Amino acid sequence: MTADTHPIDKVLVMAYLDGELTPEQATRVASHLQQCAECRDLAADLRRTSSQMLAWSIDPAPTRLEEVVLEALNKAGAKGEIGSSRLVTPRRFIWKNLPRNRWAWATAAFVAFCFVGYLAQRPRAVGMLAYQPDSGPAASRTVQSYGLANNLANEKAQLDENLIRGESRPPTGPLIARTASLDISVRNFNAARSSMDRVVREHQGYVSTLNILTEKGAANSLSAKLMIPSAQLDAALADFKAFGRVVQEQQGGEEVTSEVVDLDARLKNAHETERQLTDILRTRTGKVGDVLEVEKEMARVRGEIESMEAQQKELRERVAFASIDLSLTEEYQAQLGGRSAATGRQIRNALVDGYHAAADGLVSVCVFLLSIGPSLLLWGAILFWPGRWAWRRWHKSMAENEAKT
Amino acid sequence: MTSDEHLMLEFQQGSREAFTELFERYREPVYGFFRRRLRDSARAEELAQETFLAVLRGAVRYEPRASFRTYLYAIAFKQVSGEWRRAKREAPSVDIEAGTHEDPGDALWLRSAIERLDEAQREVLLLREYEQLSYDEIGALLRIPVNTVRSRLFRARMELKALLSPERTEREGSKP
Repeated sequence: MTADTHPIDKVLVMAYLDGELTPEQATRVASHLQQCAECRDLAADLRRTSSQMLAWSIDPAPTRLEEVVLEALNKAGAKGEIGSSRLVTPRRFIWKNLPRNRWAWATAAFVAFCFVGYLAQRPRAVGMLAYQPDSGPAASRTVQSYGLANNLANEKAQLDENLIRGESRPPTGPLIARTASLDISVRNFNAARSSMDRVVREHQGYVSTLNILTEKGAANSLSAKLMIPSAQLDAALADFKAFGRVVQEQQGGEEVTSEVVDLDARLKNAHETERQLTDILRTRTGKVGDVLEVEKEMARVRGEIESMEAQQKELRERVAFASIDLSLTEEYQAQLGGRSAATGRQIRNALVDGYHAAADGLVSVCVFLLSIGPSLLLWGAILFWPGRWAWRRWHKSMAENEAKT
Repeated sequence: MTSDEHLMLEFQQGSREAFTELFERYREPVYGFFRRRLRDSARAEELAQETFLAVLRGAVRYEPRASFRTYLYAIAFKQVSGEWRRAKREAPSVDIEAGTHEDPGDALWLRSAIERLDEAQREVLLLREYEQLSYDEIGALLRIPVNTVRSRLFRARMELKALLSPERTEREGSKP
């Protein structure tokens, strides 16, 4: 008889004897047993085996079992704790559960170790490169040579031309290069910003550099280097002070008269030297070597002239235009407005950054594991058996202590 | 007769008599459960105590989702599994052995045959023959499908039948 040809599985015969079949299955197996001698033999064997197992009987339970359990029951009843949660054994402290969950603890320790290693391996600079979008609510702009008054441009051009020709006028009075620094706290930043442009225009100055910082959640601020004609410096400063509360003011002046006079004289001499050298070349009668020597000298003088002209130009500009370092800071007031239009972008950027951080972290953990994995395996292999021995010894001593108590 | 589950619910309400009745019903079966699986009778008694005390303490959490018998033997099985693990760490061989009050020759013959069964098959057989658990209850206790219970039980019985056959016993008994 095989499972393929026999209509009833032998296991079903056993389940029939155990009363584990549905009524339909039981009827089918019962009718089959009447017809199949082989299955009847199997059923007889199974019954005989079960009856043989009855030979293994157990001594009655010791009376102490009843005493202990009923005593615990009586104690609980005396305290009125039957059916209350106070009967529940208090949870062990976590350190007492440690032996039970040692694999979980070992895994947690390993993960913590890896995390610490990851943090140790992670470059410190990564922590400093926090969320700093290139564009967004915070923006910083630097403007070079912002604006130029047309009339002053003409004046400067004339000055340059004079300098080139060496026809600079001698100073009639002391030449002072004036500087000022103003730090003003304003209520309305945008209005102050517009007013600054207006004042610069009115006083025929120009903005040399401008840096505006508008950061969300922080006060707006502006720092600019303004060039104002020296004669109008005081008036311009008075206008700027009207913007708001002056936090800090500083003025200074550097006399450059002697430098200008000295430079003018040297420049005049250099031009004279250049003119004489030009005459020598024009009426040359000497050797070729002498001519080359004159040309070389002319080049040197020409270089000196250009350098001195640049210095003279810079000095005169410092005298003609006073420099004002203006700093405008808004008195910050937190706005309780709705969400800005950039919220979605911020969330998206945060998600992208989070994804990158997760990917970087995963890669870093993998790199860390690969870098120290062989060492960990080696030390694990070395320390496993001593650790296992120590663990067993400790566990055995704990068991003995428990048995004693 | 009041069902086990009903008694347990009564105990939850504070009835000491309900627990006493449950203890009376299961004192011998639970002690036998441990006695058939452990060599040390004192340890079997201790674990039987622990099992009933666990029922006592955990009564608040009891929910009659499964039969009380399954609940009780699940606790007992957890206890004995822990004992086996500990015994395996401390002594390599753990053989089932128990004291009997009947003919020691029959019991020894039978015990040695049961001892030679595969461990998984033996547990199913013991739960079925001595604890009288149904296939479903055994499956729930051991966390295995009912079909697995059935096939393991059948193989265990066939193996035990072969081990208990007179020819084999005589052949093995004649060996020096």
